[in-house]
Amino acid sequence: MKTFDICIVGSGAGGSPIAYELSRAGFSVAVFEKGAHYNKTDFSKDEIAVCRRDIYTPDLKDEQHTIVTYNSDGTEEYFSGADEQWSFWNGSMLGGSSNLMSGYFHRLKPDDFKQLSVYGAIDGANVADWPISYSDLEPYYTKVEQIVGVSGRVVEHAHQEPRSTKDFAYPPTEEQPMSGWIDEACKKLGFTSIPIPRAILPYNTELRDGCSYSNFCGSYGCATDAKGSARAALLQRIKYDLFADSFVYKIDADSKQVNQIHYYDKNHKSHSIKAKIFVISAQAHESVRLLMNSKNSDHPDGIGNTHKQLGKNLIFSAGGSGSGRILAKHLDHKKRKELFTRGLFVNRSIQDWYSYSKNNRVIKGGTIDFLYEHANPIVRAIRELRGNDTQVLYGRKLQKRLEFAFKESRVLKFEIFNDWLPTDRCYIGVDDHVRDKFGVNVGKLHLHAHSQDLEVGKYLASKAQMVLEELGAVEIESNISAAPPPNLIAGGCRFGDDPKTSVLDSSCRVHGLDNLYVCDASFMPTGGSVPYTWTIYANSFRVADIILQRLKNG
Amino acid sequence: MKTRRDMLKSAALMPMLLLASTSCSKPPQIKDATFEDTVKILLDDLFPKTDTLPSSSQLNILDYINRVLHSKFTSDDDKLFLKNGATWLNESAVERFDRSFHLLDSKQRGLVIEAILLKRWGESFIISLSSYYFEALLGEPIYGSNIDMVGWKWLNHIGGKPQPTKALF
Repeated sequence: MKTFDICIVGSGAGGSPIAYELSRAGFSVAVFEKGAHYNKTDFSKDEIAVCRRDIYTPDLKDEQHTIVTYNSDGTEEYFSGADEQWSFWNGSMLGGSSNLMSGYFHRLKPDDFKQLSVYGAIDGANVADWPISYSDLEPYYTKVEQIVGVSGRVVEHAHQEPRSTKDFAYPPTEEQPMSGWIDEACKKLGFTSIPIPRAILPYNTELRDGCSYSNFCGSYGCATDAKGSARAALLQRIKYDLFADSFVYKIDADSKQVNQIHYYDKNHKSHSIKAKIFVISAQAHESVRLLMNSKNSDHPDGIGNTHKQLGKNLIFSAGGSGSGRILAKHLDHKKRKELFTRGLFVNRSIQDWYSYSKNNRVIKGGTIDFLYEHANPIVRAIRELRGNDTQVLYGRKLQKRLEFAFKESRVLKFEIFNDWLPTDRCYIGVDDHVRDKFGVNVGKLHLHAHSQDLEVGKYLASKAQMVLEELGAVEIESNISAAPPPNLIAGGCRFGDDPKTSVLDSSCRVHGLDNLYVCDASFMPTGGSVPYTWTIYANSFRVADIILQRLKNG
Repeated sequence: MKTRRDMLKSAALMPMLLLASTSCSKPPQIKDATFEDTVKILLDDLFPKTDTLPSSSQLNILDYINRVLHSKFTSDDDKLFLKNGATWLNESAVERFDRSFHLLDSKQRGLVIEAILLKRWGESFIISLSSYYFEALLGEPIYGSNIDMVGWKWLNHIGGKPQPTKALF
């Protein structure tokens, strides 16, 4: 059996930077991906396949998660993901969910790395400082801008993070005129609107075409490779051994190191692979599941679980979304034309309340992003079934409502991103009673949101609604809830200097095991108030440098 | 990848699934009405022909619904609920007018639709059927009902490129 220099489980934003750097340095790399190998030519804008059926994620009858929530009296309620059609899968394909992201890229701020020191302890939450600082990660944020490709324009504002380069590696993508409307509204309100950096190329490069402004981006695979998926930006540029349609179900580890991993191919036949170094990057909850399902006499509670920290402090992105409808009838011809300009990006964000004061206390706030409602006409039509009332419409009333919604108005949305505080009640384990189609125990998620998550989300939503009001929108609403967004999941393998309170050391290596790293969003002790993908990429480039140095040193 | 938008979609389906799996009474047999008879005329009531929009029959919406019913991408619960919904609609029609839904006149059918919309199962059934209608009318033309992009033209929508070369089901 061949022994690879490095074996990476999971081909998304966590694993791919390591594959990229190690392969380019001449080391042998094996990459495992549970899903299929799609290329850009496989992607179309089929609204039914992509948004109405889950073609890029497993059938929940075959593979699911089970879920536990808490009632107000503290009792637990158990849900089968298959029975409830409650999915925690994201993109199951080469490059992972980065293929399907919208590419809203924000860096964390320096204070995100030391939330306990800056904001203090919060009752009922396990807030902790990171073992690294923003300055440790800054060079790698810059590297992602250059290698993965981040387009944008730096605008100074109160919470602008320090940068080692003056501006982004790529200029901004073309902007929808609504961006300017938002700028004007914010100016009147005294808010600072900033361009949202996007992991989308504005023009062609060596292997990737620039954005075609198809109007169908988030949830869809990119047909030009302009979107900075791990596949398009990294994996297609290197030589490596790909094991697609291959599910890694067990890690063999003794008390000091990992010796091999076991996987099922698409015919459910079991195989094994050896390597000098192993990296697990299967997405936060699935990485934890694999470590737990790999228990043996040396690791009776699962790998990395000596101090019962594995799976703890699972976090999501808190917040929610809201919307308002801009009516065309109030606009002159020019403005009306601008409102309906299709394809281009709104790309506007506000971070004025990334932290704010309340009752003489500094509170960690978050980010507001603006965007037009998703272009899929099916989803938009379904949303109009109740009109602006509670009663379901049909017949001519419904048809008139649809004509109004599509031809006489446009819905501007906002999304709120704030910290989902880590708590003892939000964690992942394995379900001893439920197995997947391979016969492997499934992950069991315990879900709980701290009350502060909702308070902050509502505060930010009230600010976003002010912008919509200033724009003259009607039917303004917001939905801030404790519902966890499955595409924004992190934690479970917290990194830290103390093995008693963390799973990984500061290099994302499992405490006590010489050659096992975990490198997706699971390392994050706190989430920060932005989408995670840029930070996952940046941290993985950081870990890649550590592994590279180690291999070079023999 | 599941997004916040997808979560709304899932949430909308939940009551439907619950009804499909917990319906307590066995629906009575409506001997003189097939699923097709019932749904065909119901679709024309829900989405009437206009100057710019052909009727559901002209757009082969029923064919699309039948493809949904035979697709591996539709859950068994959803299939069962669609069929049960048509049966329960007929049950309501018989209860009120002693005839199957498709044999009623337009005014009577309207009264039955209004009545079932007040019931949880009825509202979920109409939402479910309407959602499939929108898939057919506003989905890719390759699925057979958005003929000459008539649905997109009606609402000034432009589909995304590249378009699929093969239907999912």
